[in-house]
Formats: sequence, C-alpha cells, structure tokens
Amino acid sequence: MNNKDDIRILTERFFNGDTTIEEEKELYRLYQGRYVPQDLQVYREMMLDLAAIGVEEDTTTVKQEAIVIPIWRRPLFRWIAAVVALVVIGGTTTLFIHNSEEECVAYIYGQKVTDHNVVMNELSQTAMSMANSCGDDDVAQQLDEMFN
Amino acid sequence: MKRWMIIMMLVSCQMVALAQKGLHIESLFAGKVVPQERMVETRVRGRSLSKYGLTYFHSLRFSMKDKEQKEIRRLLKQDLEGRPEQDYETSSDYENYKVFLQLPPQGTTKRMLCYREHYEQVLVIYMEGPEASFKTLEKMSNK
Repeated sequence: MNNKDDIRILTERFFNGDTTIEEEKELYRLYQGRYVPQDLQVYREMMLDLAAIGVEEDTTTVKQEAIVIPIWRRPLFRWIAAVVALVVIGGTTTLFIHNSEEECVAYIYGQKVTDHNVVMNELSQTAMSMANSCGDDDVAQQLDEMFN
Repeated sequence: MKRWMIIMMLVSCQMVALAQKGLHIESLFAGKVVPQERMVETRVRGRSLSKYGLTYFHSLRFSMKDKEQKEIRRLLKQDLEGRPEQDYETSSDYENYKVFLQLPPQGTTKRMLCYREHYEQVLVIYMEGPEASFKTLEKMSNK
C-alpha cells in the first residue's frame, strides 16, 4: 500500500468515525505531505486545521505534565529536610558542647602546653604537693571528715 | 533556630569560662594578681579527670612577692567571710599558711578550693566534681 491508498482508506475511515487517535495523526501527517490526491484536496485545509488543533492539544498535555510540583516543595520533603536539619544542628551543638567540656592545658610560665602527659604529670605533682602539705595523716583525716 | 544555636554556644562558653565565678580568688586565677608569665597553670576538664571523680581541675603554682601576698590573703579572707566554720579550715605558722574551703555544691557537683603558702611558694587548687575532696588530691598524687 502506498501513501495514496493510505490517505484514501484513512479518510474514508475518518469520516465513518472508525479511526483511532494514532490513525488520525497519521492521516493529518499524510495531508501535510505532497501526495494528496486531487479529489481529496478539498479536505486538506480541514485536515491541516485538525492537525494544528491536535498539536496544540499535545502541547497543552506536555505543559500540564511539566507542571509537576518540585520535590523540594512537597510537604514530605520539607519534613525530611527539617528532621535532617535538626539532626545536623543537634549533632553540631552536642559536639561543640562536648569539645567545650574537654580541656587539658597547662601554661608553664606563659608557655602553652597541650601535651596530655605533661599536663597530667603537672596535675599529679600539684595534687601531691597539696596533699603533702598537710603533713601527717591526722590533718588529712580531719579534712576528710570535715568535707565529706 | 540559628538564634537558639548562638544562645546555646554562648551559654556553654560562659559555663567553661566562669568555673570559679563567685569567688574573690577568681581574679588570681584570671592572672590579675600575679602575671601568668610567672605561674604554672594547669587546667583540666572532662574525661581525663573521670577516674578521680572530678569534672574540673584548675591549679596555679608560683612564687609571690610581698605585695601580692597581701592581695591574695585579702581575697581569701573575703571568700571565707560569712561562711559556716565547718566549711573551711585554715592554719598558719611561720612557714606555712593554708586554707581549705568547701564551697556550696551545685547539685551533685562538689567544689573545693585549696590554698597553700610555703614561704613565698604558693599553690592554689580549685576543683569540681561529685568526689571533689581532700582525699581526691591524695588519689591524684598516687600517695
């Protein structure tokens, strides 16, 4: 079957109301072509108009499909984003507070020392000097009784 | 949310910076009486102290001058003023001057200030924690 036969059969089916959407599209396409038989030229203008309407409808459909709500505007996404933000902020804050609560530093005559062993050794020496300052055990015991 | 985060950060900084707040001797820890260049200062907070039952330890070790001694003793006297006698112990002789002060606890956190002068040598310890006591010092020194 060539285009001339197609156009004839489809035109007949079209006017009988038997064509499918796809067949109608094909029919419009054929009328847009160069090989339209002379006796069917009378329908050409109408078919081109119908084809134009069909294209507009298609475009509208495409546009309607394009108006999809972006994911970041969807309520669920917003909730998830809020929860993630809370977790991140909470984590950062916890980390910040945790780091603020950790300190191990000595300033030895203006010189900053952060070596854990050096600082803890200094701490131990200081504690020992203070503990020894009470001399005998009686005083130490007395202090313990007082403060405990 | 951003505002709350800033407030939380400021509050935590305050908590860290002002452990001795409320004591007159705080100005000594702040280096306002004796310059920090002449001191050995130790500041420990957190996990390193957990085995001693402490949360904070701050000490100073230095040699003082006469003028500084007067100022320090004045500060100590002010800190002892008005406190119940059972909260502190002082002793003094030609060689030594000692002050042990148990501060009112903050919840379960006990607070203690220890001060010792041996001639011109000074040792000050401020400590906090559920087990802050003289015994803790012994434990820390592995005595």
